[in-house]
Amino acid sequence: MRLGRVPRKVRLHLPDMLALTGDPLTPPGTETVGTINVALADPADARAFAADVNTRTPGVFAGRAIRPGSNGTFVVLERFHLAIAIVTIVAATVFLLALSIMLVDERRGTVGVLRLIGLPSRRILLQVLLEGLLIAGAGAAFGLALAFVSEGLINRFFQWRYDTALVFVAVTSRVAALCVAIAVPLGAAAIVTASWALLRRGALRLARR
Amino acid sequence: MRAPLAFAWRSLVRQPARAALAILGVAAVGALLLDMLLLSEGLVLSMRELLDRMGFDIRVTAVEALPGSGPDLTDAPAAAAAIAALPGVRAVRTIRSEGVELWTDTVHSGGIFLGVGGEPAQLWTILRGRDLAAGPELVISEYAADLLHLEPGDTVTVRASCDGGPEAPPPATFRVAGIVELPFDTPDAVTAGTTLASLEAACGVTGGIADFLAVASTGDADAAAARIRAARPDLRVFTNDEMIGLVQQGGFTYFRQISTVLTAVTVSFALLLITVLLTVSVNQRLAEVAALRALGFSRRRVVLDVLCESALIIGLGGALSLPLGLLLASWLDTILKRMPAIPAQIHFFVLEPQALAAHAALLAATALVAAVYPMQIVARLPIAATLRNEVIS
Amino acid sequence: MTDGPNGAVVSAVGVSRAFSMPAGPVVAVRDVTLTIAPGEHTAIRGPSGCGKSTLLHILGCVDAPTSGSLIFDGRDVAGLSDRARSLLRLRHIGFVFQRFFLLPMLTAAENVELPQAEAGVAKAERRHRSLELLDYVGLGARAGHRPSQLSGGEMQRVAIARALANQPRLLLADEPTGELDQVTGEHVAALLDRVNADGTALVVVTHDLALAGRARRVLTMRDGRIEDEARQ
Repeated sequence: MRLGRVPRKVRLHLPDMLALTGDPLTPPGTETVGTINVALADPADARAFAADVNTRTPGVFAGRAIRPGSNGTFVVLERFHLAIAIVTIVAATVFLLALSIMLVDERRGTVGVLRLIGLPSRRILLQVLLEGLLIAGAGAAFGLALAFVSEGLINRFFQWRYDTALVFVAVTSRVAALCVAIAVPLGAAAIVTASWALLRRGALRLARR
Repeated sequence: MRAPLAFAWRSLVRQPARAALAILGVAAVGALLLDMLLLSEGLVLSMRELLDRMGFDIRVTAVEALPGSGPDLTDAPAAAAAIAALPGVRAVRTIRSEGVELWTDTVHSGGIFLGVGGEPAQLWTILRGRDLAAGPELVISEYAADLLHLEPGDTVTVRASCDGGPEAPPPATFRVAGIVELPFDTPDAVTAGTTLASLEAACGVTGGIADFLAVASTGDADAAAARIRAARPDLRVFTNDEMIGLVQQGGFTYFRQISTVLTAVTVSFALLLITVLLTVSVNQRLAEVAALRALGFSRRRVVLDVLCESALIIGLGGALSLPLGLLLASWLDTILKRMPAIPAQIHFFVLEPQALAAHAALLAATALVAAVYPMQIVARLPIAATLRNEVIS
Repeated sequence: MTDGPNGAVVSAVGVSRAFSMPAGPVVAVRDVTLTIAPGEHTAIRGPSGCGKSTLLHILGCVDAPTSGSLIFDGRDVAGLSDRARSLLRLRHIGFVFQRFFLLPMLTAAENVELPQAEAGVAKAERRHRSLELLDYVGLGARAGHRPSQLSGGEMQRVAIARALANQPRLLLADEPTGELDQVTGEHVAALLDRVNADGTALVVVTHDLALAGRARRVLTMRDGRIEDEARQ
């Protein structure tokens, strides 16, 4: 039932809080606290430790805390975003391959002539790979430029739309590097795959329109 | 329309690898789009479904806050009696939740103790055993039963800690009547439910306090809520619709926001790529189109061919995206449900006709807009110049 | 549709066609007046770039003259909408191209059926007529073959069958043997002769002297003008 609640928190050191809220009639050292956080030497012992505390001290409930990096809200959201990124990359790869096939197909005549002249498939494939790397590099650079430009626009729009200070898009250097590291090999691989499929056909068949 | 569609199909399958990849690409993008549409309303729909399933359509609290998140009602029995006497009100339950420790011979655990006033209590679904009867009985969540190794008929020692009660009330022994599913329990919640009287007895307090009142109207929730407001202006009254409104103002907006962003990005992505695919495809067969025009095909017909091709790619991809999207939604739901404090029965992705209609409409619009530029190329194609250029090249 | 007032299938009266180029306008056809009578066999020859294909495109209503008028079966084509011109081409004009332009995903029979389907001919009727036409061009046995399974000469014969699908009054052929060897070209030329002998007016644009020599009327173009007209 607490899902929709907007949390408002103030953090204080315990002595300061006691000074603010403490009852002067309560003897020092007898105040109650809601939770005591315990850091274990070996986090793997958490379950056993909690069971031990529960047996030894009736009236106190010890439980294993959510491990940082396991199921915290932001960790879960990060996994969710990662899953969406994977789907997007799959879709982009499929489209990229389709486009590569079309682009390579447009040059089948040229490739056929090169084969007829006597250039080996490997040599043509190498040339295509270099070209693919160049195109993918240029595409990635353009994509990054687009991301940087759209970052501000998207944030401004959605902050206005939802009246929030949340940042929706943040293109960090890590994200940018990751994008380039994925996009460039993927683009080059798509072009090479498409070219390889074309090069498997006979030179005469390629050269003939 | 059939002839252009059949012709577009032949054009499409002429390059099977290209067509298959385009359709698969649309299927992947369409799946993501469907999921974002399901996500935009999923939590709210799921929440509403849970609220409706509980059988109560009005909640009464002390202040303008969600039940359980604000101060307690201090005169709950009097308020419940007054509300029950109003016309249009079928039933009133008093709900109070407190902390509890549960012991068996071997295991001990802390949890939530839920006391429900009014007969029959039935805020939960019985999985095994039966509902509460007379005497000190309780029902427990499935997770609590697993943790404490309890089955219906077993006994458990209970120490409740209630607001306004003694700091260390004496332990009480309860019999487990049944294992239940509580609508808003998290998957690892140790929850025990009993009657309000039993909870108060275990706490060593007299009645009076409750988190909120759950009210079932005879049919018109708005009218019943208005009567309650008139009778008790000091209380806050929420119908299920108003509860959902309160929830939407809170933390749930994040998913609507991300869904809006990703829907916009997904549609733009699909639009751009289908436009490029169709444009390249059309450019590769300009001479053929010019020849068809020379043979007497009208401009409208060749434009329709391109539109049909776009519709076929997006239609087939869109159809494929439905099962794919539902699979993906189930995976993403599993990921998101690992968030802390999310009730086990809440879902982030809920399939509903409106989302399917929006999915179809967005894809149809994408097919249409993506075809605009290639259709323009075909419509404006100069026949003679294209034929001449083809011969020269 | 009936013949025009003077009995011509198509008449070009003082037509010119200029193209805008970065270096200035280029006039491809200059003040040409020409009439094609029903059943006539005309060849247009001349060096590359002399305007013969442009003239053919104007006669076939796929290009519009910059000046002058074109009368097809008594109607001024300039006054027709794009849709009406498309219908005119569909029902009354057949085109044969140098590069065939058959649709690769359709079989020979389906290629021949295509203009008939567009003209609204019933399925059974168009199927029957397509097979008849393929028989006529000597390819009855290849009806189910795709263009990629046919030789150049066969493809051109299918293209001729396609051009005849809606029984046009005028058949326009732009270098129909340009992509073929001599023997295959001879076969295609003979087929075109037969089409003409069966009553369809034929205009052939060609470099090929032998092909031009088969026409009863040979026009020679130079610099966009008809320089010479010979009848045989």
